Amino acid sequence: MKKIATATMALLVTSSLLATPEYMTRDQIIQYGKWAKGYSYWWGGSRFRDDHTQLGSCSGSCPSCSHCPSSARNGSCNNSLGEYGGDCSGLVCKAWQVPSPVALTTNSHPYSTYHFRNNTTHWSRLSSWGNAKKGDAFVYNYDGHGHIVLYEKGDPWGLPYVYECKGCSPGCVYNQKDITSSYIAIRRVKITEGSTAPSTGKMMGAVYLNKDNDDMSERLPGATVTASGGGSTTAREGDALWSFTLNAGTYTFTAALSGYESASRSCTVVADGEVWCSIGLTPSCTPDCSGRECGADPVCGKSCGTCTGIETCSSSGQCECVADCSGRACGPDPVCGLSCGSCGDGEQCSASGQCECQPQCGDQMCGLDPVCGQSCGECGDGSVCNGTQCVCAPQCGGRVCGLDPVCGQSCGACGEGLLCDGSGRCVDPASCSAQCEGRVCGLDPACGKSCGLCSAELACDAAGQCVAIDPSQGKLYGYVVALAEPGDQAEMKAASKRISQARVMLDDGTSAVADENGYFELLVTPQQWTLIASAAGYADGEATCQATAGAATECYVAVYPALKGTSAPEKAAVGWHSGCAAIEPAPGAFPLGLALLALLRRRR
Amino acid sequence: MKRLATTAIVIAIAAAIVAAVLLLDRGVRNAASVAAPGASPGASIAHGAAMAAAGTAVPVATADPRRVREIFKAPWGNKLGELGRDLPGEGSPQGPMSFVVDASGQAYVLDQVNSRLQIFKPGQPPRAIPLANDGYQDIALTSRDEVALLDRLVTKSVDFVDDRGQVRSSVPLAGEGIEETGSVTAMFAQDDGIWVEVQHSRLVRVASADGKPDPERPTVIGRFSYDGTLLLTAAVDGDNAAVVITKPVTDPLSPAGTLLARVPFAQRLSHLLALDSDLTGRIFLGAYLIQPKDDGSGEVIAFEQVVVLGRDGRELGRIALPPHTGPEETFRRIAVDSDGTVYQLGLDESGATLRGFSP
Repeated sequence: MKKIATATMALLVTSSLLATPEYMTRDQIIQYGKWAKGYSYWWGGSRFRDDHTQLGSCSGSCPSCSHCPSSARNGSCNNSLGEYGGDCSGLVCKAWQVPSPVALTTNSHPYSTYHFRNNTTHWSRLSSWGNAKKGDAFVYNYDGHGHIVLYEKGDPWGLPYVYECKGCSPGCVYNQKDITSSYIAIRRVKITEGSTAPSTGKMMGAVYLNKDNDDMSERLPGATVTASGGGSTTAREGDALWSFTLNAGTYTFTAALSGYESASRSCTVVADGEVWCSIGLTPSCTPDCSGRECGADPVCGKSCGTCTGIETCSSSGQCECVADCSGRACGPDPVCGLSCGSCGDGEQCSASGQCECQPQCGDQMCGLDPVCGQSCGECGDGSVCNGTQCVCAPQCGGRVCGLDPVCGQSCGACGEGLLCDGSGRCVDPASCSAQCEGRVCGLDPACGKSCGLCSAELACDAAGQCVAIDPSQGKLYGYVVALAEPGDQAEMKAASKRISQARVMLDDGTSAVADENGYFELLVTPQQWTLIASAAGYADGEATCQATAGAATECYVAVYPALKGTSAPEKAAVGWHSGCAAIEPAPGAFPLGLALLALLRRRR
Repeated sequence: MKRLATTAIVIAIAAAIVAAVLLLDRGVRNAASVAAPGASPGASIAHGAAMAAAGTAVPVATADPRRVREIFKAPWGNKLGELGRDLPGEGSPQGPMSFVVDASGQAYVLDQVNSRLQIFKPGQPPRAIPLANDGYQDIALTSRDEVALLDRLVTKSVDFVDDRGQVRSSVPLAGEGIEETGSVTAMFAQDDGIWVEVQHSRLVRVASADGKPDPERPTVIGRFSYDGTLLLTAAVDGDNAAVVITKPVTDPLSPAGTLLARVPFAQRLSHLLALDSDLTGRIFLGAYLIQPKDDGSGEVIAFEQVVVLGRDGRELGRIALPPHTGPEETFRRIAVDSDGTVYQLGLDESGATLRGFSP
């Protein structure tokens, strides 16, 4: 029976959370007590009448109910007096009309003393039951036992007069009653004082030393307590209590005291009620951040600063970047750039942080280094690696003979009796007709044949005309001849074989092509020049001659038979030299191919 | 939750005992080792007696343990020697409602929960007088050695019972001077009859000494002093004080009187517990004091004191008593004997203990 009643009560309580009581006056509350007076005690019930008839028939568990006829007591009471009455909490539920209005004659019992004692659903606790007013209630509930009474007034001794459904024998009564400290006082919400609905309530509390537990024993009088929205007070001497009377609503209360950290709490003021909102303060502390730039100081635990970017705070309070050397043995870590280690002799650190064999390239520009077999570099466009160096890549295109126009290297040699024309084709001299229209000297543009020679004191200009030698220049002229072995100018002049179509190049990059008779001429600044002759099927040769201003200087250059089976470098290496020492060219002064040739010469 | 509540109550009881022992320890250190006269075997030692100057309770009996006597200690139960306690689920808890000590030192305890009266006499086993009614709330011994019992709420009468519990006569309470029987606050047996007090302010004689209804139902303002020369009244005065007013018994209906004393208290005065006097004219004012806890629980810490005033109103001292912190309703738990012994029927979880404190 009790279980069913408890479950029913729980359901009612749950549903009652959604209900709302209406405003009542204190007299209206007491009127319910007056109506209930004289009715039977009825455990779990709450049903009364305003005409004081049918005072109840001891429904439930009251064998000694005083309202039963004496002949029918001890459990056999008939229902002639109706199923009316209530227990203590039923009376207060009815008197308070909680959670919502309910008729006096309707049996409704939504709350027990447990709820009145432990919840504050539609009522609040008074800070002290000395502050009780008419219509408030005193309740106790402990260990399954409980009682609640409806307070009306105090007598001259301060003892309360209450309405209560006391028990089976007395039923619901009005009497002076002894109240002990087992009880607390509670007050219904929405009580109208007089004709005006209350809108204010009391918020109070103590300021205490916060020990991070429930201990509030050390009070902090003198603390300033402020309420959000304005208003402040001082925690009083002794117990450090403070209070505000405020309009109902939620406020933030902040307590401040010198030497302590301020603290705040958000609490809700209940209309016509008293709510506690004690605030604990912790002592303020001067942080010791000496030697620390981040993290918590060891004294107060306050921040000494924060680290930015990729840095994190170390245990010693320093902002540090934590290197990520995972998978790396050397080089900088990718996070902080800090060293992950160094490599041994003969090793180098790769981009992925691994120690690898260090190539020994020296002056080697390309190809594989001799130690690690790794590449010493790649050659750029227009050049190829000759094993160790990048050299000009001949671009012969459709040429089968003569020199390529880029590197000046041979594109091949024509057969005996054939002439390599200006387009790099081998032509029969007899069939190739020189086209010297208007030209009296120099090479014709079609076959590269001579259009004539100027006298020594004249020079052939670009238009194929013989003109006076520019006084600021000198003329170098002569023949490319073939010699079996190096010889001087005289031996070259005496050579019987002259090489047609040979290219004569100066060490400044200037070049000329010899005609079918091996004749060439160059206009140059007056100085000493090294002339290099190249011809298909021959090893290069060179001669050194002095150019004289406004004059012509005869200067023969010899080429030499090429050695069979030799590579290009070897061919270069076996070239012959005659005349004066070579002149060092200015860097970048030559076209790439010629510069490379000049470099090869210099290294040799 | 229950465990918490249990713990809280245990702590509260322990704190009260410690507080009382501390008070006692200031001057009655040896009291703990001295069995009080009349104590039943195995009874606990008396504690909590203290007397002080105005405002603060200090030990009453210094080194004289005879000033604190345990008259009896009865566990809760329904056997002979036990006292009934009722803690219903949704109803008024109650313990023994009242008691009285006669001139021979016998204590009559109203064990209404067990529908009986138990009589404890030092050195003898207790005896019981069965009662037909479990609604009695006060007891008085008449000049004819009868027992008068007050039932404010059930039969609403004063019943006179003999030593077998038979109701020899029953006098209705309601009538002239008493409109509301629940407002009766005490009952006194005088030579001229039974007087009941209404609202702690006036007395109405409802019955003659032989137990017959008093057709006149005379009224006096205040309650009689022991010697019958004065009428005493007391009232709460503000939050922390009470006043004691006297007037000659020859002017019974005048509301005016002489302010004998204004008695301050260190804690908030919840209500008064007793107003009595002894043969020498000393006046005893019992008070129930409370101090709200600061934890927002709405709970209070209780104190009980008896302030002893001289005939001239000068405060002679205070007795700090163990406070009643249980939920049980009582009607009279402090009484004063003709020699000024203050009796307190103390209730705790184990049972009830009657102690006598000699100021």
